[in-house]
Amino acid sequence: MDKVLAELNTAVGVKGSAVVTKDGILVKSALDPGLKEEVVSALSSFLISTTRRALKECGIDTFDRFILTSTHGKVILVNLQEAYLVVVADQFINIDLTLVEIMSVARKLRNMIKIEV
Amino acid sequence: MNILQRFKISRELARLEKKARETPSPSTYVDMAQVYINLGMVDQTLRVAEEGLALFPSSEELKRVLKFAKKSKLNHRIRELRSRINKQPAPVLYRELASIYMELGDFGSVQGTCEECLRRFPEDDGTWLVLARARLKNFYRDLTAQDGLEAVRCLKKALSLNPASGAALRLLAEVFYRVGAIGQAQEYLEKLRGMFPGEKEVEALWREVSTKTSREDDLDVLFRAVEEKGALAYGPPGSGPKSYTFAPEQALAGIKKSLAQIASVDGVQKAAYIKGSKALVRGEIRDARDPFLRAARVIARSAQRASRRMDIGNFNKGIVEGPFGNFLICCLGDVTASVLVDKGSRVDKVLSLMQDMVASSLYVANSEGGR
Repeated sequence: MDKVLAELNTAVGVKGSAVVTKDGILVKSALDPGLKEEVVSALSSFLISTTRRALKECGIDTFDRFILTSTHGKVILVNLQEAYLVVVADQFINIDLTLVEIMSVARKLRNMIKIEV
Repeated sequence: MNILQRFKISRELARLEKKARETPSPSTYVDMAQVYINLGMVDQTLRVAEEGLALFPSSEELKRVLKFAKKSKLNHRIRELRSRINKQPAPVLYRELASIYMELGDFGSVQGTCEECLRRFPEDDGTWLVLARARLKNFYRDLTAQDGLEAVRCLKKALSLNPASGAALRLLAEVFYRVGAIGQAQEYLEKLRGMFPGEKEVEALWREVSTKTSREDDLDVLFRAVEEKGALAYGPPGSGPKSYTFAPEQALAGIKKSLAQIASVDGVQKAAYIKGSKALVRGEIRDARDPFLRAARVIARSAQRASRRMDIGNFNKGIVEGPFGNFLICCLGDVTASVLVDKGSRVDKVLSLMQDMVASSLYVANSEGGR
């Protein structure tokens, strides 16, 4: 898993990536020194749970992907079933290009998690 | 890779190529492209993606594969250019490299490449121009004053090195006009008109600028005003003049019109414009207690909080995707636009309409109507 995350971090503009469980427990991470593990995991878990809860009220069970764009960066959350892949990137990335790489990594992680479970 | 593996892969590829011919579908082409990606065969990936898109032009997945293949090809060119620069550096090579990085959206590398070039060739106006274009691209996209001011500095530097640079004059005139520095825009346009008499684009811009008057000449103040208001004084490049100083009732009519335009896009189920406790809605929304409105507010708020705490600035756009379709959110200041669209709909188009609606509505008074 470390290797897969490290590989993803070589993509243009990706500052770090992590796998967190739905309840905010950090499974693995490969983050830039500027990003704190506990902050990324806690905030991703907060975002995931509030989004899921809000969607549930609309009759939507779950989401596959959440692409969040801010003035100085982007966060991409990908549902891995048992956990979520969190990718933090800078604001200049071309999201369409990077998404192909992120989804390919998500597929690998999904398989790994299944095997480990 | 051993012979057995090669045989297996070529058999799998033959099977997929056959399947694509007999029962073409976006997923068949994506699968096939994926195999080529794994094999590192960029040209073949590009071919498959292009063939697939010719048959299924609206397939988002195929569009992504095509972009990925193009990026891989560009990466190959990057390596080539790097190696040539190492052997025999030249400004033209640096400029091409920086332009590729710009295409890839890697601004950090654009800056790094230009700086490296300028250390070696400080008198190269073309590199200052590339740097200015990158800054301008960021400015027109994010409306950040720092990028705009830096772009102006780079353009002026390019012009000081090459006073006949039509591109630098044109970009300067345009950016001055867009932020509302009419006098300065006219000054550069006059120079351009002298250099290229009768040039259609210059004349069109000249006519447009001539109808406006300056409210302020201090560039710093003008760029900061654009950043604060989240809108250019005179519309984005190419879209014609669009003032952000609407009267409230005009703006409200504008929002309703924009909302109707969003709702008319195929696949849009619900659309809402939310400001504080009030909302204008379109589509299948029952009343003010509709869970869709609540969900939009909750997601926007938590995304804003997460963005700030993660130190990545203000949240301005979110796409939540799932089997249900896409839940789109666009935020600026205290305004939120939210749209629920079906899977396969034109998300980019809807998002762009949402951004326009939010940006052009910042002057709506709190007393606006809605439910």
